[in-house]
Amino acid sequence: MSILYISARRFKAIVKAGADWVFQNRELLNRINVFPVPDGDTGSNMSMTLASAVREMEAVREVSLETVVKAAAWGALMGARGNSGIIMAQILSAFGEDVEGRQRFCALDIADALSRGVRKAYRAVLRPAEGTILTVIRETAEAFEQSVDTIGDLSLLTDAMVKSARSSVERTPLLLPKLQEAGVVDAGGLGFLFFLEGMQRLIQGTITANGPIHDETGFNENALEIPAEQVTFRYCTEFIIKGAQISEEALKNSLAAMGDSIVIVGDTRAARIHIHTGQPEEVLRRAADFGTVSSIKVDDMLVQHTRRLVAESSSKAASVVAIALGDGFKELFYNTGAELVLDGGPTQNPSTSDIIAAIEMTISDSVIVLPNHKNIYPAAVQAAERTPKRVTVVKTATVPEGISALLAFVDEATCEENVDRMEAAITNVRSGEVTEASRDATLGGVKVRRGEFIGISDGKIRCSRLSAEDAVADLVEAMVDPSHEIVTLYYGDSIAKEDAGAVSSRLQERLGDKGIEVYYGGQPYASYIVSVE
Amino acid sequence: MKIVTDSTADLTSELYKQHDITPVPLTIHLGEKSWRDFYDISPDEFYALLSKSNEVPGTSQPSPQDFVEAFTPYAESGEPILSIHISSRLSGTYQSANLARNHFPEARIEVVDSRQASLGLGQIILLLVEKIGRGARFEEVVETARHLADTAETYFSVDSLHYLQRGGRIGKAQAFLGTLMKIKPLMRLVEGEIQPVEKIRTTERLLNRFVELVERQAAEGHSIKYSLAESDNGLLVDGLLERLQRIKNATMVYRARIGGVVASHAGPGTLGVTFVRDR
Repeated sequence: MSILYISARRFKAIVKAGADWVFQNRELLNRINVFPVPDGDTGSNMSMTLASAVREMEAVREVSLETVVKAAAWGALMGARGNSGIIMAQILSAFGEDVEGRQRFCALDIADALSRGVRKAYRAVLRPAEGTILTVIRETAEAFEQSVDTIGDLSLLTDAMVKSARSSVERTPLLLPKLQEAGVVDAGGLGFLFFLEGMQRLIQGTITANGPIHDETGFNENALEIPAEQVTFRYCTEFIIKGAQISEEALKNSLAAMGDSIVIVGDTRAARIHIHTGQPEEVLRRAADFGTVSSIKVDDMLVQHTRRLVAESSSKAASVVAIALGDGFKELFYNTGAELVLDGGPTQNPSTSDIIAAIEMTISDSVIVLPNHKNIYPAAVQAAERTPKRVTVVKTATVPEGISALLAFVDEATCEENVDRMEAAITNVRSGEVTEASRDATLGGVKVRRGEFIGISDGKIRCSRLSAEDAVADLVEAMVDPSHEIVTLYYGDSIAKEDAGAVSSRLQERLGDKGIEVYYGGQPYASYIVSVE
Repeated sequence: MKIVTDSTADLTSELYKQHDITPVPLTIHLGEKSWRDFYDISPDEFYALLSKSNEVPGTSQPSPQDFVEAFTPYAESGEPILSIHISSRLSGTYQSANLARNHFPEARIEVVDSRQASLGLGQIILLLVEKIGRGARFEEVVETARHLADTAETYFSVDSLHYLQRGGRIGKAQAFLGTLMKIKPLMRLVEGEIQPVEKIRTTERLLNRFVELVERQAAEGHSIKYSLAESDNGLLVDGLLERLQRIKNATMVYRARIGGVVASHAGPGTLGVTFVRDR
């Protein structure tokens, strides 16, 4: 059967068939996803992107080709996830650009749309890499363009596209050493091939006996380790900006320094952004300059990665946003289960809008905020009132309280239960800190000289010593009572690990039965933060 | 009727004797040596060996032949047999018992997956014994066994996740690995599998949590039967038991020492509470 044109109905059917075939193969795509980051979600991302395109198409009547194609383009763009999803969306939106008043696409129109799509896709990615879906799309479009001179039958042209996409996918490991190491082909490229194959299957009305392109026996599990250098950009951040006049160039320039794998797509009124960054908060702050930011999704790729290996799929009733200062504390909060840790800043004074942005970035509709400082509590409460999400601020006045609260959080519990548990947990915690005195003074009856280290708990100076370690030892002794079980020392960025370890041994001798734990907090303002509980 | 179980039920030899229960042993391997669980090595002996050894212990399930031998005298005399075992998600023991049953097409043998281990399995058996004592028919006992397997809840904590991880039984509690803070991981056996529940920092709070779990069940107006078990953690259980005994509507069934097989996978310092609603 020869096919000479694509009507609205045909367009809808083939895009659906392609989307469906990607969906059916998404697990395989997830498994072989190693580039740019092995976060194992290429298949899910591409199929979600295409599903969004299909949903939009389903929502419109097939009155004209224009309606259907534009619906698909819009759906793909707004639902785009991940690099490959965004690139797929470019191809679909290229079809939407020259469709006004048309009822049919013939082979030449498709060739034009494909080559526009390739240009758009390369533009959307800030640092295009070969050996990826980009290469596969480009080579496929080139092959189509050549064939179209002699063939007008879209059925034969589809076969030609599948054939060229297939050999292009097979070559991806030669272009991208990471793929070669892992013994896989590019997941995004293969996803595009599946999309074409899905169309081909529909057109031929049969399932073609194509051999397996991807031999899983050659799959190298080690390639799934995320390289250490990528840890700096561990948050896969995606969002949409809606505005009046969004300049793509200006947006790109503003975000370029914030991370890598940047993809920006859209037009002047709406843009979808994908970036791997270490500071999602800052990225969103910058994005807000260009318009209204929405549909924010931030994934911790390290966690995502672990989760994938664990194959854990528990959904949670609430997300936790913690505010903390110090890289050690941030790590502790993330590790203990915070979805987002907002940097408190040197003055421990994040703005209400910073906190709102963080709240809106989380996945759940119910959010628990841990301010972890008494000065931040009011801003957190204000932020809670100004977002449509259901937000509860648990009154953690210190960072150790925040950690104890977070440890009490249970995924399976409801948000309310968790708030109760967290509030109960902080009543057990007594916190203190050791800081260096910045001037001579007599504070609460204690004489303090500049440069001395003072130990404070419950707002009172408990001791003053020449070394931070002596001060922390005395402070802890002043704080503990027989009911306490654990003393935790969090040392700041000015303290050497060995010194923290030494003072912990000293305390262990003095306090015998109590557990002494030492963690790196990395906070700049206090030599030590301590808690007894 | 005859109850056959396996050594992971962690009941005492007095209880097995008193109720004429046959525990078919699993085998423990440590270094070059092997023991039949329960018969060749007591919990205390095993904890002592474990603390001195750098090797990781392993275990193996009974063979179908072991079950054939256990079933034979009763199958031949026509006595119905209830064969109830450690969760099939944690061990192949249930499967061996099932294979053995096929050797006796004529006999009445019901093989039940308890979806539990150690104290959870032991308590189910003792509750069944009680039911038999009240004159229940075989079908009723089997039905109760399946019901208890579906409803019993076991919560437990280990000193170190290392044993569960090395033994490959960690299940979804894998989520606890890599936690930077030192924690007492609270887990539970759900549908025969280990799941994470909570990260707890201190022993005191862990004990409070156990008490709270039993209290919450008992507070819902049901009467509760519970049991406790530990490996090398006896003092803690003393204190916990005292507190649990004060809870209204909650009755203790027994207190166990975790045997060699379960201790091989959970490690020393394990503490568990199992409970079930009374029907």
